[in-house]
Amino acid sequence: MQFSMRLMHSVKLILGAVVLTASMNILADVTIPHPPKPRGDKCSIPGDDEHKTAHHFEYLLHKRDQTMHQGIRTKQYSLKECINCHGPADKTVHYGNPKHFCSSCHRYASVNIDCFQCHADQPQPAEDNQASDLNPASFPHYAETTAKESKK
Amino acid sequence: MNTLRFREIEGNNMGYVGLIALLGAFILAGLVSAYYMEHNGHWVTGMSNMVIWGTPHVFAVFLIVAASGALNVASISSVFNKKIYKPMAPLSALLAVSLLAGGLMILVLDLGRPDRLIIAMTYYNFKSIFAWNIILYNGFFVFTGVYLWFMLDRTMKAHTRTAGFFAFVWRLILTTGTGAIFGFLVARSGYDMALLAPMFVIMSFSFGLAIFILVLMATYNWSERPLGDVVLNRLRNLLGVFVAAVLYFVIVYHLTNLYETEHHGFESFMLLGDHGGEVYSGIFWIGQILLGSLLPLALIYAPKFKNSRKTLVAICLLVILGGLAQMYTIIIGGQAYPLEMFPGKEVLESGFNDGMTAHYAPSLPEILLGLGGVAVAFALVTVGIKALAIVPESLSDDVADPHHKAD
Amino acid sequence: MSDDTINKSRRSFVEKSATTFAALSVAPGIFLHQVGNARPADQAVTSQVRWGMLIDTSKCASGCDACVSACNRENGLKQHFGPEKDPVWIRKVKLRDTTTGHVTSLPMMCQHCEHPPCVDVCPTGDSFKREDGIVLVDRHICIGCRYCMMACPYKARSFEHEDVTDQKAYAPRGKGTVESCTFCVQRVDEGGTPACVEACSAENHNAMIFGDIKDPNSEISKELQKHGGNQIRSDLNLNTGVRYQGI
Repeated sequence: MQFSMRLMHSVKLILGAVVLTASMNILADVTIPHPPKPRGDKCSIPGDDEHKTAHHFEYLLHKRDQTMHQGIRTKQYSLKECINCHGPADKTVHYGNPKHFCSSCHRYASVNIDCFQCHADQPQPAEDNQASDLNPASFPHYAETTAKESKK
Repeated sequence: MNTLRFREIEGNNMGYVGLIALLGAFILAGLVSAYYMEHNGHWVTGMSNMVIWGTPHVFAVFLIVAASGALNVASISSVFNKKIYKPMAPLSALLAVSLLAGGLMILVLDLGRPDRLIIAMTYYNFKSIFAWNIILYNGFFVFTGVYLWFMLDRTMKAHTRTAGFFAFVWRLILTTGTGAIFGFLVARSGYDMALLAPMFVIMSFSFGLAIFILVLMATYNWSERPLGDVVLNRLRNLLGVFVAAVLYFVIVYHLTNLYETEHHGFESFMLLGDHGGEVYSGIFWIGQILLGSLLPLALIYAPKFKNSRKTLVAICLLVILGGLAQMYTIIIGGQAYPLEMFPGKEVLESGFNDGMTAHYAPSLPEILLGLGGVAVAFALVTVGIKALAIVPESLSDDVADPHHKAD
Repeated sequence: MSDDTINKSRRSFVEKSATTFAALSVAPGIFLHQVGNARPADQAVTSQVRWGMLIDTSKCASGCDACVSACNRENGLKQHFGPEKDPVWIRKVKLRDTTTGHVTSLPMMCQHCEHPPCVDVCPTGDSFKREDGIVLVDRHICIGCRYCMMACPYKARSFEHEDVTDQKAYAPRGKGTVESCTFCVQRVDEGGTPACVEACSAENHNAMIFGDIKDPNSEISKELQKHGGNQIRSDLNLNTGVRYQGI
């Protein structure tokens, strides 16, 4: 009997601590996201804003496997292309900074992503690259396919 | 006749609390080290592109191998029907599970991306022996857990033998798999040998039993329960057989390598310390052979020390030390020796240290992580024997084996 | 509109489109020696192509490391610890035959084996071989166990020992994952050649040839047919994509 009472007491203490910490966190940093405007005119992810927010990762995940395993490097759903349009022009803004397009919503939603531990979080200009899609002249085949795609 | 009764240890004295606190401190240090390594990246450790698996893996593989061997006492009682080991079977099963948990904790926390553990459990490449090991480790928890349950639950006691049999077969496959992690690698001269798989099985018998004996003696000493000489002598003799068997496998391994000319470089590295291998040959001869095999054998079979408890403790500690030395020479020595990519040629320069013996020194975060895993294993045992009734009240000679003269 | 105007506009349209088509059809030909099998970007790679490299060690200059610098630049590899903890995708090795005393120099990188041990041992399957023979690490599922590094007979792989920033957009790399030479897959997929091969040609050593070894008309196939090429550690039977002459 004594043991179960002690157990209940401990459980209550732990629960209380969890609720307190959670509420402190919730009250702490609540900035409604205002993601910066994109540079391009058409997002490759279809649907309205709600659909994009709810499903963008599915398109990205599917495309990532296609690129990785099948070498399909089209612009549609490509993370690099997302960053080229949505990425910050300011060189000092990296993922983690609330001004970064992806961070602005992900911080608010508290959904941790690890894309930018590997992927570049800013668009890269031509002179930094030897094979960049912002420098299509570097490879002719690129120019063909991107020209074809933009006609779609 | 004294009936055998299992009872939880009281564990309400300062000694028990102190032990938990000490183990807790090591666990905390291990977790802090893991965080430090993961947060900063592995450059803060001694592990590099040349010596890829370091001190954490030495501890982890040792614990995993010992875990499988710790189940031996239970297996012998259930599968081979040796009644004298039956009272110790539940403790053996608990120790096995705890050691495995400690070893796995080290491995997982050392991963470059431990946050992706779920990926390791859901994406499987079935050609990889490592992937099979992940399945085998999880299965070991299940099979041994069921085995322990059957041993403790009066309604399931009749099925203990079946559960024990499955657990026994599973752990043999598991340890074979652990040895195969190294044995299947064609790339390195020190591995690439099928013998490594059964050698790991025999090593598990030896290390697991040594740890079991120490845990048994500590439990009975510190909870002031009687432990007779009959049980300890049986275990001691068994340990002697296993230590001799390990030595046999080590001899066969090196003889095979010595016969193959292409492996002569590795043998002179490991046995003679050539080509920068002084550290490894030192650890091999003094740590593994002298202190880990020959001295324990001498102490076990010398009639002078037959009933000495202190000597038995020393023997077990030496076997454990020898086991760690063996893991060090296998895991780290095997990596430090350069890959034989250009036979008949000498490497003059290389941008990636080709042809050069790799330099490795254990770093503090690695050592603390390894010790943290050891602490987790022993903490689980310490808590387990208090929470569950798995330790017999008495293992004095009368209780353990009323007919011990006839045995 | 009068007939003349219609004819004129029609004629100019035909002229313009004909010129454009002509230009477009010739333009790829100008780059043909580089492009080889230019695959459309939306098509998956197939096993009809197998990428390989041939290195003539007699042409490899001992003190030169143009291939290494080019690789570091192309893939954004930063070197500051030394080879123990730096990412090394390609390195130069200088060898001396102990019997004859002959000295050779060669670049060493991932050999892109047909039967890669690294692919066999990877527990999650992130080390994989693409249909066209390029062996890659899918860093999305790499857990950083480093078993592939233990298994590689060429010590081709490196582990990312620290946080990585300022990655190249086309070569994502991050802490805690394993990496190795990708044959500059971002270039190859666009019909280009790896940076190391380009750099070697730029230095006029021309020791490295890259191409499709399944195409009997490619430069590399013709060279292999004429003068052969050896695999390093050929006894392992891995059928490497990288072959060497002169060792």
